[in-house]
Amino acid sequence: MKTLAVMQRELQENLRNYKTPFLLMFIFGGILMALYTEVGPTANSQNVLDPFFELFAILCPMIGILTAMDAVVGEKEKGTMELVLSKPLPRRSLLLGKFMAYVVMIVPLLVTELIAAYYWAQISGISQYRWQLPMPPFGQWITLVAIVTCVSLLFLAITTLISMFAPTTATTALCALVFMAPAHPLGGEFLRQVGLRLHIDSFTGLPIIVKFFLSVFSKFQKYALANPADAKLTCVSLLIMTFVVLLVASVIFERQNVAFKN
Amino acid sequence: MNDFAVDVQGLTKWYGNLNAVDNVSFKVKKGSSFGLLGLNGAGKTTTFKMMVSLIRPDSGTAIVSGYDVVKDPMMVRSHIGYVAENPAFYTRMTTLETLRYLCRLLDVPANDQNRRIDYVLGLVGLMDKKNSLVGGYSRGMRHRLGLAQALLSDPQVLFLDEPTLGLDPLGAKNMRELILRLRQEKEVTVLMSSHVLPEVEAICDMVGIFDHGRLVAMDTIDHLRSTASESLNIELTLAQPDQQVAQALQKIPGVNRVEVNGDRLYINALKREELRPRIMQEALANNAKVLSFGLQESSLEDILLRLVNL
Repeated sequence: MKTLAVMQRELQENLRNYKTPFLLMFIFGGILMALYTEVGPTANSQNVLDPFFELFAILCPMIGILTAMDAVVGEKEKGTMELVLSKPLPRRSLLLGKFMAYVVMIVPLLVTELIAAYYWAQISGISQYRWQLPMPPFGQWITLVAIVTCVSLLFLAITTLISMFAPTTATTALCALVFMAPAHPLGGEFLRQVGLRLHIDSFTGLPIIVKFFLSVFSKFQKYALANPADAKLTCVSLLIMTFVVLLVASVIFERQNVAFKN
Repeated sequence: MNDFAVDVQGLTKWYGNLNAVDNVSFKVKKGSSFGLLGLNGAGKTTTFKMMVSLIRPDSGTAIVSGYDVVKDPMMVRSHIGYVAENPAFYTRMTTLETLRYLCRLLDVPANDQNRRIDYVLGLVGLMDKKNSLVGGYSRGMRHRLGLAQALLSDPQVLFLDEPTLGLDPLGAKNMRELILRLRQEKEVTVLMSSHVLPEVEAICDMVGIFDHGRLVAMDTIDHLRSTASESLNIELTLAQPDQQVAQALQKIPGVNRVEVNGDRLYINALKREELRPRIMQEALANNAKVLSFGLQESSLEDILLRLVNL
């Protein structure tokens, strides 16, 4: 019940401080970039999944960061942390309530906007007109939506964890971005180098446990888009990792000596 | 049955190399009021925060309303009300939404929430602001809302950290009267920290004086006043200025000094001997026309500064 109370308050706050409409516009802007700018498909692209995935591999972590950057530190900055923690509210409930509110905010936005983008691309004929490429089957598009949503959730949890230690909201965002920015290009290069040394040129046939850890890499996620079983594994792995990060965050938060503003 | 609402034993807190609270022990009787006094950084607020279970002590125990702040923090928080030094709220929520949210955190049954909210808002005089956004509140109104939220759980112990800090004189007076009313009507135990010493004198039965993290004195204000100093101050008003009387009084053994300010003489004398009859006799013997003769009591401020060696 208390977790629900925190969630409702957080949702209310994020609607009134325009964070939710801002996120809606941010995702919409990402879709427009993928559809109408030069962030287009490469020469060996099979369909328009490629440009969307490349762009959303960068945008989704940012959506997670923008949503959760003030999760804990924002309450400290406003001075309201002292108010809520002086009530019989377990700290894990505070953390979970906030996380649930963020999930309720961004999942419907992402899913709705990406599905709308699929139908818009079909109706407008933009994929044929701009790139002479077919739209992927709807099922494959849903796989993309599922994977980018799970990536967003993982970054929500990571940013929430960072916001427990950072001194300000801005520092949280910067730390999370510093963590995220090199992850995409370096992750791909890391996998390439490992593949070269181990003489592995495909993700196919790797053990599940290896694939579990590989699912954080956008290169593997892109591969999984065309392989339904691996796509499911990727989503499950990302959700498990999200849960573990949240669990670690709540255990730390329970023991943390919070520095109050007053 | 324990008679104490608060029982603190050997409470200690370190911040790096700084011993913010050093082995502090005290007890506060149920229904009484206790003031924590001290200069900035003396350890009052840290002690407060440990008692309301916001900060974990490094050692020692604090039992509040019968519950250990380390072992049962949730039970402690269910039975207390806490008003922070600068009460902060969600600025985009209305008064009603804020209090409803806090009622839910306090497990107040849904069918009782409106009654409780109306009661506390009536008590602090914010009933007409029920649907106003808290962001538009003045400092005084935030303090009153702070007190309202602290009373939502019908607390047995009320912790007030600098309850009138930053309030104008009228706001401070209203807050003081409200706290006194609460004490009388609800018989709630009040612990407050303050720099405003007349406020502490008006509200508290007992005071504890903190210095460098230690509790250096704890007593009733009257007793502190009588024991904190070895000397007393006497004010003598004459019909006209008279240096000769001042010189005569200065010669009495036990009189430390005599200061003359127009027709008034300020005499500082040892307390252990009753010198007042002798001083009066000497003044009359020097043909002084005495208009008034009175004892000047040490203010709480004097006592505080004396005890912290300033």
